[in-house]
Amino acid sequence: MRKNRLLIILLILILSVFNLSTYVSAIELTGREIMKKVYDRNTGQDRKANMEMILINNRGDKRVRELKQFQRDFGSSEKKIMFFISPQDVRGTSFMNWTYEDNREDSQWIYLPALGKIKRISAENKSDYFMGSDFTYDDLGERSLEEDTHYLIKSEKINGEECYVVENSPKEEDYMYSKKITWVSKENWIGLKKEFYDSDGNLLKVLTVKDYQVINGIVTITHSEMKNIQKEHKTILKLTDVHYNTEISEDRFTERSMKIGI
Amino acid sequence: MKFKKNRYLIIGMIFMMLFLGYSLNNHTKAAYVSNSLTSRYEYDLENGETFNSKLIYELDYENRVNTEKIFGKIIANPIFEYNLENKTEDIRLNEAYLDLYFNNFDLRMGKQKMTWGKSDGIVVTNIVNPRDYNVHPMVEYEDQFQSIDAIKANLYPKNDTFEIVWVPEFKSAKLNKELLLGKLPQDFKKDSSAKEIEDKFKNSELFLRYSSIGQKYDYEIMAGYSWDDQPTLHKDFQRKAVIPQHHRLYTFGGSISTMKGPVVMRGEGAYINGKYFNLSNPLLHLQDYPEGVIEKNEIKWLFGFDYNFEDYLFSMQFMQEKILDYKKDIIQDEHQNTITFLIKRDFFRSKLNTEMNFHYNVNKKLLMFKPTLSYDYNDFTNFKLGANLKLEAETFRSDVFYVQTEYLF
Repeated sequence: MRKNRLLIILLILILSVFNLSTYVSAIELTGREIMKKVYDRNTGQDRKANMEMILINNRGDKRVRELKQFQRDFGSSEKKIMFFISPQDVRGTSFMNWTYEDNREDSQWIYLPALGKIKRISAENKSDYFMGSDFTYDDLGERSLEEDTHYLIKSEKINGEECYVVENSPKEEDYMYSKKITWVSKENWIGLKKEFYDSDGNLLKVLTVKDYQVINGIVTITHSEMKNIQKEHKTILKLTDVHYNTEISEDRFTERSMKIGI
Repeated sequence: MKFKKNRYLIIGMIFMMLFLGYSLNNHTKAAYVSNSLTSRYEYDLENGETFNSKLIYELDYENRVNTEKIFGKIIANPIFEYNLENKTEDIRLNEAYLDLYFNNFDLRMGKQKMTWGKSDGIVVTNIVNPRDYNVHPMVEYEDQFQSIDAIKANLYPKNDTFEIVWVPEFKSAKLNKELLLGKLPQDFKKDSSAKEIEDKFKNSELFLRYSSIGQKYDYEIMAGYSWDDQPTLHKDFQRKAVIPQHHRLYTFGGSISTMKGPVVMRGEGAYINGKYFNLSNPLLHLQDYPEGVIEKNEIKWLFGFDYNFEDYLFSMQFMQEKILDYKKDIIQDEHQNTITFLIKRDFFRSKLNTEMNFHYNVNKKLLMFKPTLSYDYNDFTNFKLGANLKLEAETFRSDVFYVQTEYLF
């Protein structure tokens, strides 16, 4: 009898410790830690891809923009260049962006074939919409972990995938969004859904990931949709012909490359 | 005769390019063909009449050459323009060249346009292509530049660009006849019998440019050994004739642009050696300057900035031309100042673009105003409304309003 009692107590203790450890592991990750995993996710040293943007207005009319994109992480800086393929009136235009590790201002240039000239443009206006789409330059660029405070709200399932729901509030006062809420997949640390709130705190846009694939061992979002809730238009973004770690040369991110194109 | 021959040649070329382009594109995707058809209606606001109604067809042809040994492009851009008002037609090649790309070296040969410097719509170091002052109304600023036959070589030291341009045959600016005749003294006639610049090697032009883009700033350094593309009016007092003559110029200059927050600043400067100017009262200086012209050096400098605020782009430039060692009787002022100002904003996800351009010649108190409204109905159809207006000015140019529809296919 005494022996049984000891066994039961031991069992209870084991179960309690196990339960506690499970509980601890569940709360162990803070919002910041979750987002750090998102930021630290392997995205390769370089990437090239074709990008298609389908702009759909509230009447369902479509406009299509096609681009070819190259990007490479050089350690102290990340360089990105985009070549516009269609529509006809922007064909030959290229856009280049250099982002720096030490929080210096980005450098940006645009090449306009009609003028035959490369122009430096301000990188400050990240709230501008890219090519008339629902993505701002900021949405498409890299935002550093330290620019926001991250708070874990809850866990939730999206399309059968377990996600952490994290609120990202900007530290900067006049940032274009008052907050963002991100649904982060527990399995592969990608954002499967993101809500963007305007400066008045109202829901402005929702980004939904429609498809992702593992390419060269890297989880890649290949189909996403950004919907402007307030204006009822949306942009579908598709990536095709994605290649990672192909040793893109530094020559790709130069004045010559911008002018010659692909 | 020559024009007719060229016309048939260009029409033949257009058909060949269309055929080659579409068949090559279907098979190898090596060729690209883009067509645009523009109908433009131009209305003279001062005289209350339509002075032009045009139909413009433009072909963009690009054929990539990509073999084991050669990598390059063939580009051709013919334009056919039909004036429905006076039933005239014009066919010309805007650009037509061959590009060859090598490891660290590119070559471009043929009819081409190039833009140097950081300024917008004002010429300081952008001196390679001569201008056409007859373009009116000016829909885009780049329309005022003529293409030239040239060979351009680009070298790429440390990812920067060193460009050498050789122009074998000098091409003059197209001056407006009214403007030129307006400069003639009373009782004098223009004598065009003087020989044009002969097509000889020693008369060719050479331009050099080194350019670099970097994290903090972009810069260009340039030099040119060229002809002044605007002639100076030499006078023959015995014959009472005015003889337009071009002169050799040596130009050295540079430009820089940098960014601070929402502001992109730019500067440009050039020193021009050997420029000729007309004297306002030539009879007083007959002994020293028997042809009524004087040679001086000149400097030009420009400062400008682009400022993004909310959804607006504000752009402003100030340019000054200064004649060095100035002589009182020179027809032009010692300092000539020009200010440009632009406000731009896009609406409806960049479907509607609005622009207001001001160009102010301070010395002549000539203010030109160029508003434009452009709407992309879809990816193939664009509507544009615009005007070229002058305020407080005495000029032969009339105020013009235009409306155009462009269809891309």
